[in-house]
Amino acid sequence: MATVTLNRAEKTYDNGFKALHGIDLHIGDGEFTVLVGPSGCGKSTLLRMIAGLESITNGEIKIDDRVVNNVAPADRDIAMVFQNYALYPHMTNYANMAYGLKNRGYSKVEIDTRVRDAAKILQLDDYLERKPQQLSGGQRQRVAMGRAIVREPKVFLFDEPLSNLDAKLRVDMRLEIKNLQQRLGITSVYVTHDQVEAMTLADRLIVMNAGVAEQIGTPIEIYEKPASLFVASFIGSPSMNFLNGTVSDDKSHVVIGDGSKINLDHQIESGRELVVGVRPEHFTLTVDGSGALKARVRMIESLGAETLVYLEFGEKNESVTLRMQGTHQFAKGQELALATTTDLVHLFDRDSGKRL
Amino acid sequence: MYQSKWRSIANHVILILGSLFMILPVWIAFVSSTHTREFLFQNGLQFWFGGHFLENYGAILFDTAATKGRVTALEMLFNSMVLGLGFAIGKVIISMMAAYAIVYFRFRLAVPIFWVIFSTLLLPLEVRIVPSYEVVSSLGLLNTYTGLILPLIASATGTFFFRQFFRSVPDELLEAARLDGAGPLRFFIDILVPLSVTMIAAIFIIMFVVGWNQYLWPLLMTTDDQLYTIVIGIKQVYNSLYEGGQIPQFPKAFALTIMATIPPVLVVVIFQRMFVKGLVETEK
Repeated sequence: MATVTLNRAEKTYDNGFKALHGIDLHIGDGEFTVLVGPSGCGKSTLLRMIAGLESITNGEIKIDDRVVNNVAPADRDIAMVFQNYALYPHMTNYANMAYGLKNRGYSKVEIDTRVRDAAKILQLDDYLERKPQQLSGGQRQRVAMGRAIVREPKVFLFDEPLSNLDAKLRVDMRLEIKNLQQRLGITSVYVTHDQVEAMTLADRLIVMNAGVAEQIGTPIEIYEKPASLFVASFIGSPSMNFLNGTVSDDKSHVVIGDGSKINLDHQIESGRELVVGVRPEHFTLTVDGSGALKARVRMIESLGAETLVYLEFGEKNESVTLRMQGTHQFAKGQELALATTTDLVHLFDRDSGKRL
Repeated sequence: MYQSKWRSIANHVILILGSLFMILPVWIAFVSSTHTREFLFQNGLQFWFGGHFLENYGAILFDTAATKGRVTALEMLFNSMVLGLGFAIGKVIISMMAAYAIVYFRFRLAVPIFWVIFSTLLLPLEVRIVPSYEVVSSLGLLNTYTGLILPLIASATGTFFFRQFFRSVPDELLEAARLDGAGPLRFFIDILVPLSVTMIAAIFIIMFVVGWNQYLWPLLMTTDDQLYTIVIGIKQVYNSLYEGGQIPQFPKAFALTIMATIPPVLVVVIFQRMFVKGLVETEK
């Protein structure tokens, strides 16, 4: 049970590359925090700094009230699950889980109880005497989690633990991790580049971009009120449609492309140029009314439960995506009229990319 | 792959001829060593056993007179074994630790030091044999096992192979071990050494055979017959073949040769199994 606090945590590598530009973050007791972002955004670096595997250049990291900047990884009372499992291949699964305890001088009896308890939780009872390479990917990842659990650490760290698994297993393991974390109530930090994983697992989500935490909030907050163009495009699949537009003279709507209108309820000065964001699922088809966005069908993807329609509009053939429930058929080139409601429209500054 | 009957037969003929070419000299030496020297002198090399196997081998193994020195073949085998094992084990330990330092610790000049070690590959023992002799003799280590083994123990080849192997071990294993509270020594003993078993076996095989077959260095180092290795012993026996107007000791020379080949063959056979098994099973 612990909290993790970062104050202006910075990381500059020896070669001068600045990976993190000052991260402020407080992770509450028992909270499941997910760091998400594209590769190279610094999320793994941040996790490894919490683990103590990377040094911190500036700022401080606290676990509970103790500053751990210069504390060795083993003494931070944390456990980490790696992407490639990092199990010791020559040891049995039992020995893998017991190794950390053995090094910390636990008694044989204590080790045995803890390993068997963890194995029961993770349904590994029958595999303890085998070696890691005799197990499937999912089972190996469970052993890796077992190794973390037996230590009863203050903080769990996960470094993309599911990305080596196939799609179906990934969904199962995702549920299992969530379940386990809720049952054990251990503060967790989880790194992923998969936004579905991020949305489903997180109590709180941190969207990172180029060494900066772009937005911190619950998954729903981030989905409903993305703080910037980057966050808006990163969270949600297919990603949000961005349309360049200009606020009309009477401030009642934004004019897009060839005169389509999207209504506004914000007070924004007329004539301002901005970016309008609309999620594919927030467009509806209308009977051709004035002002609706008229776009031509380019391609359709039917997923059964939903249909993704890729369209283009205007003279520049700007693309826009529409997501509809159920199955639908449209002819290629057919013109559709798209409308949305004002409270589902996101507005961003064209220069800074910030939400208005 | 489809192969016609004739092609398959041709392949086998070639293989059998090749095997014969390799095995026949050893076979002739072996069976000839079981005849008396008079019989061999009169009738030349033999292709089948004679009846004096125990007699000849017994004399060679236990009787100093048969080897023309003050040492039996058994003692020479022991000396060779000490040299071979000391050489191989020493090289494995030293080169593993050197590679561990180079790969896992960040210290100044690590890279230049590695290349200096590596460049010594270019220099065979013979290049430094005189200075090495000088050092060993002034340390008073002539005619000792230590003096025989120690100067040969550093190995650029071994260090290089272990370095390459350690670099292929995923970093996450080190990180996981650090989180598990294993210090540098624990990580080395608990994780790195078990993972390197196949490499150790491979280097051990090669080094044992090289050590066993050392000739020049032991010859220079040892003036005392008691420290002669079997390779030197063979040379001595062949040298003395025609001395004193007697009938040459061919059967006993052959017997000594055969015995000198057995230990390296055993080491290769035993460790090769482990080596192959390890190669198949290990997954990093």
